[in-house]
Order: sequence, then structure tokens, then C-alpha cells
Amino acid sequence: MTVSYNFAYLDEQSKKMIRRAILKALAIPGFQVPFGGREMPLPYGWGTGGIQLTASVIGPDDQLKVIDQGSDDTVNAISIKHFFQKTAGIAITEDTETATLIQTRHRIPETPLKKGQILVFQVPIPEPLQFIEPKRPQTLKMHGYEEYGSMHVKLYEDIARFGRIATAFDYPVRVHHRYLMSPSPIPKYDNPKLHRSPAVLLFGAGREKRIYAIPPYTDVVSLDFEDYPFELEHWEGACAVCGSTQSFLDEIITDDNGTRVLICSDTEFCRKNAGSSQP
Amino acid sequence: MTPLMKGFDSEVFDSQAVFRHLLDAMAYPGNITGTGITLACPDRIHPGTGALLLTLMDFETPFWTDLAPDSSEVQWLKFHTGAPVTFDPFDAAFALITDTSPAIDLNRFNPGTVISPDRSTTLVIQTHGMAEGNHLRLTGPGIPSQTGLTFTGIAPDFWEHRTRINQAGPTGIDMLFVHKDRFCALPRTTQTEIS
Ligand SMILES: [Zn+2]
Repeated sequence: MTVSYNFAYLDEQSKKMIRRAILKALAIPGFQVPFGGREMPLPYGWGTGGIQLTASVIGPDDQLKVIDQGSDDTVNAISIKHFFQKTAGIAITEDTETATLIQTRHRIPETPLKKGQILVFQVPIPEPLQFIEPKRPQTLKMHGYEEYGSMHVKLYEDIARFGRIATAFDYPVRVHHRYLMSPSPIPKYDNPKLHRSPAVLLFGAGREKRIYAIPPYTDVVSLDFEDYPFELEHWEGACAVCGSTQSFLDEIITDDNGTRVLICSDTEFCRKNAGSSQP
Repeated sequence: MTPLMKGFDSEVFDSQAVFRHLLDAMAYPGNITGTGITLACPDRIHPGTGALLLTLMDFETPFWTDLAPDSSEVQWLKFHTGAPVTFDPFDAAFALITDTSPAIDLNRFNPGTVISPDRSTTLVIQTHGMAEGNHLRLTGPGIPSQTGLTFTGIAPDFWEHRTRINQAGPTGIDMLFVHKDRFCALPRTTQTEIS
């Protein structure tokens, strides 16, 4: 078989450009760094931004884990794993603890991350101010001069309408007391895991061609108000498989009568937890 | 003219290995690390410097240095990266300082703008030595509480100057310090205090 593409598919020129953007992103926590580079052979929505980041970072010694909504086995996660197995011969793992590089869509693993690990987020909409101000030159200015009052107004309108802040996913944060940042559509349950994480957190948006980062041990604060503090979701009950009450739970309908059970969204955590809690 | 020395053994795998060390260094400021590869460089370029610049530079990154433009060092860097040499340090994406005995005027480099703080010069400084120590105390993102470094051959007022340049934020100058085949990073967010 002849291999006609480069290691990890991406050409070296594009990798170089993305690598420079990653370093700037780490130096300016929460700032969206624009990058150029070639298109990936996957449609947007399949995590091209995350794949470009992973392709620019990954090496022969890496242990790659890919999760989609917490699961290692969805079609999206499997196709990304195949992509890196085929183009880079990369070793794949489901084990959060031994993975050196984790690409994720919409979750942060329950198992705490460690120093040196890299978590790559797939980002559909990188701009947290987009729903308030659609014009890019304006949002650039708002970030530049820290004009974030309108974001607080939007959250406060939620409180007026719903009696609470209704945003449950992609809940906006301030990074290093400076930039307003979208954490990608993770549940707000995962927001505290961003705060002073020992791992390197990289975010890639393929369509907008932007990269941003949270360096390790960096303050990340979820927006809130004195009278309406940031609150985590909680569940009445435990995981039906492993019994966990310390993880993000999905509600699943199990039969035609609408019987509902709660199950960990992080499949690897659930498997491990179920194994260790058995007699 | 003597033939140019070669660059990376493998562009793909050497630059990937170096970049991972660089990413780690930038993510954990003050950590002194190797580059993960061996690279023979012309006289006045430390192997660490060569590895970093070959990994980062290309035709899109104007480059300034205190070495003479016609020196074998500059010819080597140009040949292996394609980066154009600029005579105005303010236009440089990367700047290399090989001699730290004259005071380094940080005002000559580009700190970016409030709107585009990423369009700044990254400085690579070759030192006479560096080690973990307590001469310079470091705090900021990437550092759990605090860490310390000791540099040889960098004037004490350089650190005050650096603090002033980076004070306003988010603009600033990110720096890579090299000694032989080892290096560490001090991004603009790292705060220093001489003790
Ligand atoms: Zn479970």
C-alpha cells in the first residue's frame, strides 16, 4: 500500500501555522487566535477544529482517547479514532488515566486530569458574544476593551424570565480574570473542572478557524450574580449501572411505558466504577 | 563558500517532537526542558535555538536577529525555514538575541495590539546559563503556586523592563530562553520578582 498523505494527514505548513497559534493561545489565556491552513477531509460538525489541533500536536508515542458526549463508542468518536489510526498509526485507549491526548466533544472526563495531559475540545461556536453581537469587528472590540456588560444583561434577562440562569450548556466563563470565553457545549456541570486544571486545555473551531486555550493552573470563573450564584445541576437518584452520585447523569427512557433511568454520560468512568464497586 | 549544514533529520517527526516540548514549556512556564532531538547548528546558534526556530518559522514569519545578515548562522536559518530577515525588529514575528551583554531594548519589539494581541514578536534569548533556583520568582498561569529560576548573563533591570512591557495586557512579548540544548518559556502572563 502506498501512503499518499502526510503523517496525521495535515500538511507540515498547516501544522506549523496551527502550532504557532496554539502557543499564542496559551500565552493569552481565553483569547481566540485566528489561524489559516488547509481544509480537512471531513464536513464541519465532525470536529474539524479539534482534528486540526490533534493532528498538529500528536506524535508516534501518544495514547489517544476520543470521546463524544462522554462516550468512547459513538459513530463520531470511532470515525475520529479511525482517522488517526489510519493516517498516523496512533495507539488508541479508552483509559482517561493513561491517555496523553484526549479529543472531546461536549464533555470533560469524570476522572481528574493530570499534569502533562492535553484535552482538545471540538468547538462549534467559539464566540460567546455572537448571540449579542453578530458582527465580528464589534466582538473583537468588546473583547479588546473588556466590554462584557451586555453578557451580564443577557444572563440577568434569563433570571427575570425563568427565575434562574437558564443556560445549561456552553455556560460562559472568564479566563485568568480577563477574556470572556465559551467552554464549548459542555454541561455547566463540567465548568468547575476548567478551573486550575493541571492539564492543558485547547479549543479548536474549524469553521471559524480559531484556536483558544486555558493553560494549566489558571483561574476560570463561571459568570454569575451575587443574588444568583452559579449552581451545578443535580439529580434525584444515582447511576443505574454503577451507582455513582458523583458524575454527570443522562436520563434514558428504557421502554415503551416511558420508564426513565439515570446513567453516567462518561462510559469509561461508569465501566470502571461498576467494576470497582462489585464485591 | 562552505556548504550549509543540514537541518532536521525528519521534518515531520523532529518538528513534532520539538513542538511538544515547546507546548509543555509554554503551558508550564519556568520548567526547563530539552527539545527531544539532537541537531547540529552553526557556531553561534545553540542547538535548542536551532530546534525551536526550525520548528516555528516559515516564509510567513519575518525574523530579526542581532547576528549579521550575511553570517553563516543567518544563512542556515533562512535556508531551512524560508523566513525572511527583517531589519526592523518591530516587524519580526520571531527575534533571536544571541548576545545579552548590551542591554536588550524591549521597546523595539512588537507587543501586538489590544484587538490583536497575538500579532506580537516572540523573543528567543540565548543565555550563558539557567537553572531552577530562587533568583527570579515566577507566578501566573501554568504555575501551581510559584517556581523559581536563576539566569546567568541577563542584567537585573531586564526583568523590570519586561514587567513594564507586559503590564498593560493582553499585549506583551512572549520569551523563550535557551542555554545549549535546554530551554524554558516565559509567556507575557508570567510575573517575575527578583528575590
Ligand atoms: Zn455509572
